[in-house]
Amino acid sequence: MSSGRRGDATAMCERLALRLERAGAAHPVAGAVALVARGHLGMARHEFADLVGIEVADVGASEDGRVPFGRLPREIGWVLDDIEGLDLLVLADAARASRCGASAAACQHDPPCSDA
Amino acid sequence: MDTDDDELCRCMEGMAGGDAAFLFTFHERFGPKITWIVRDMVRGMGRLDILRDDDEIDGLVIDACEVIYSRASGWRADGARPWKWARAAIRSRVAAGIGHRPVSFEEAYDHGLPVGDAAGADGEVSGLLARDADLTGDDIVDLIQVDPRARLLDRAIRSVGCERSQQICWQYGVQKALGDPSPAVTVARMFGVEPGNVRQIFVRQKAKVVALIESDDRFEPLRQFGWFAA
Repeated sequence: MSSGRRGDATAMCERLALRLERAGAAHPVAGAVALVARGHLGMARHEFADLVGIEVADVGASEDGRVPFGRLPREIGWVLDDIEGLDLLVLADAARASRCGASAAACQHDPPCSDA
Repeated sequence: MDTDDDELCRCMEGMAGGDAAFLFTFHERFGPKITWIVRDMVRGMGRLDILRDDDEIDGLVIDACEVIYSRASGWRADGARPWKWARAAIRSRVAAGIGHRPVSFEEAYDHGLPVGDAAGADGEVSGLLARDADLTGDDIVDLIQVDPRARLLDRAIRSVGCERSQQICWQYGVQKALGDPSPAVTVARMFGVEPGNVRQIFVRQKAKVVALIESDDRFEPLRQFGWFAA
């Protein structure tokens, strides 16, 4: 079931990103996208990890915003394709805009934001 | 329990555990219901300009879902649906989100809005709440209409104290009964006062109502009622 408005899933994802950003996540938009993938399936972390075939720890790292957008497990991307109203281009732009701006050498994030 | 209930319980359980993925699940599955409620509240607040703005409504719906998310640990599966249970808190967030519609003095005067005329002739809550759409009037009015004991309770509350204390007493009691983990905070937002003041007002008003119930036999059926039982 969907609320029927294109874009509201994107808005919700952006709100989740804001929460992660406030919590100090290095990659809040990527974290939010990972949360949305699991939320769409309505599964606990371990269930989701089993379903898509990745480690629970990788799901956790993604959702906690420790993995850049471009390095999210591709299995998460497969789930995102099914979500009505989720505009990945908008979110990718938001992820790019939220990078810390430091050079690869100076960036404190692991991996560096410029690799994302 | 049907599939929808199962899904709702699973969502609420996940949110109660602080799992934000279930905030998305809740929004995706139950967004239409929340949208309907938020639109109804916005309409009741007279903000037709907001009602026409889908992006604004989307934002308010997400706000409402966050209200439920933050309170999910206090929800009980055998109680009211979350959007009904947290209705006052949602309304409070919506009201804070959209601000108050500016009403000119002349407009208020033309529509005959002086406070003294606002209460119903019977002095019950309904008249007062019809004036102030920010309150959870619909819930209380519904209750008063269908439940004779609620009607009697309303009469008792309305018989003592000032109008503001009466309203705060009602709202605090309703929030508490619905399982709101911070009823004083919710009610404080509604009335623009400090949570500590809400608790004090409730205690004072409750003392007056209890004294009335104990001394006046018309209110005898309320002597075993949860809020005011001795």
